[in-house]
Amino acid sequence: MRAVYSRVLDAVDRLARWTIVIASALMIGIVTLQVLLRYGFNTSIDWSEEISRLLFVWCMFLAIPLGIREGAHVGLELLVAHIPLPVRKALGRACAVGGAALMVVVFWQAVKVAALTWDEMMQSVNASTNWFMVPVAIAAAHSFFHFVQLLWREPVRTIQAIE
Amino acid sequence: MSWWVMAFFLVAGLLGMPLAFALGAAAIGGLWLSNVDFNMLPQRMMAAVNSFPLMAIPLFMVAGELMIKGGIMEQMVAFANALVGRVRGGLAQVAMLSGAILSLVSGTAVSDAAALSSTLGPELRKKYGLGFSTAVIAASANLGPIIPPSAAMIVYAYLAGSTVSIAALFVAAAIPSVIITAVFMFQCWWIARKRDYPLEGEPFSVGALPRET
Repeated sequence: MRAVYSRVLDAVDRLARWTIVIASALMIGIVTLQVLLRYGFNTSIDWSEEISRLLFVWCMFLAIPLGIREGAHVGLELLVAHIPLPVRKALGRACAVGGAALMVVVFWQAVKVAALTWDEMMQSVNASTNWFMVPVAIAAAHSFFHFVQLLWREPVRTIQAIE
Repeated sequence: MSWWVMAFFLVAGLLGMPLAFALGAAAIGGLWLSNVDFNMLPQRMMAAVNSFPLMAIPLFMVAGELMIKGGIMEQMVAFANALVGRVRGGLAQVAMLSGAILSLVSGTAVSDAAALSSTLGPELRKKYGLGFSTAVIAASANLGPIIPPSAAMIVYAYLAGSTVSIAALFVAAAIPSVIITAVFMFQCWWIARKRDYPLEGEPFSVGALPRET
């Protein structure tokens, strides 16, 4: 069961990683094109700022669960490093439960906000402003599953450090 | 009430919860205690990232990565070596100067540390031992957030609002960053002299500089 869970989550991680790569490439492309057009040809794309910001928000939020998987989020080890291993593992699981609970709240509230304000449109393109809120909900759901996985598997960097 | 929120954040952080999530959990506690609707949470999270100036940070990282992959690090180290390689503690001086030059394009300490430790780390460790070489890499990488363009300054200016200009911060940091780099290099020289590290490297020659750049 755990193996299947991990395999499915790995597939979702790959999807998230490729989405981030594509969104980053688009963001860099749009900003570069805008700079070229503005300074080279004295013209500009009116949607470039809003769409590049949207892509940036997607990149940032989709990367959060990948950070949980890797154990890349910044934390304090001052106290934890000096306590016995079983207690440390128990604390790690307690933190994972806390993180999962937080993600449930964020996911539910993000969906509620998105549903309530779906009719609001972006300034430069004919699309809902809630495309900015969608990655928050996706990241919260994806992070929840990673926090659940932390109940039985250490983050990737911890595993690498042990090996 | 604020004390409870801060205490929760500190306890959760000290118990090993990643700080971002400890902050989020403490914020939920604060919202609950003050009877504020939780829908503030995703909106504030999104608004904190939804900023055009912050996009400069990943773009800096891409620029730095492109330069490193393009082989600029080796040329930079060779240039620094031609300038200060002959000074006592030459390799540490080269690391400091390379860190300063790299900071002119990267803006973050972590990326500088990664680039410097992969390029100069093994050689520094062999010459000066683990302690001094780690200190040199850490100090030179930390020039990243001080020497403009700096990601930390962009974040500060963004959080401070329209009263602080990013360009003004960059200009203000120019002289302090030169002073800090010079002090770091002096400190390397001082330690190298005290520990009697040998004088190595080619003597300085103006003619060698264009060849290395």
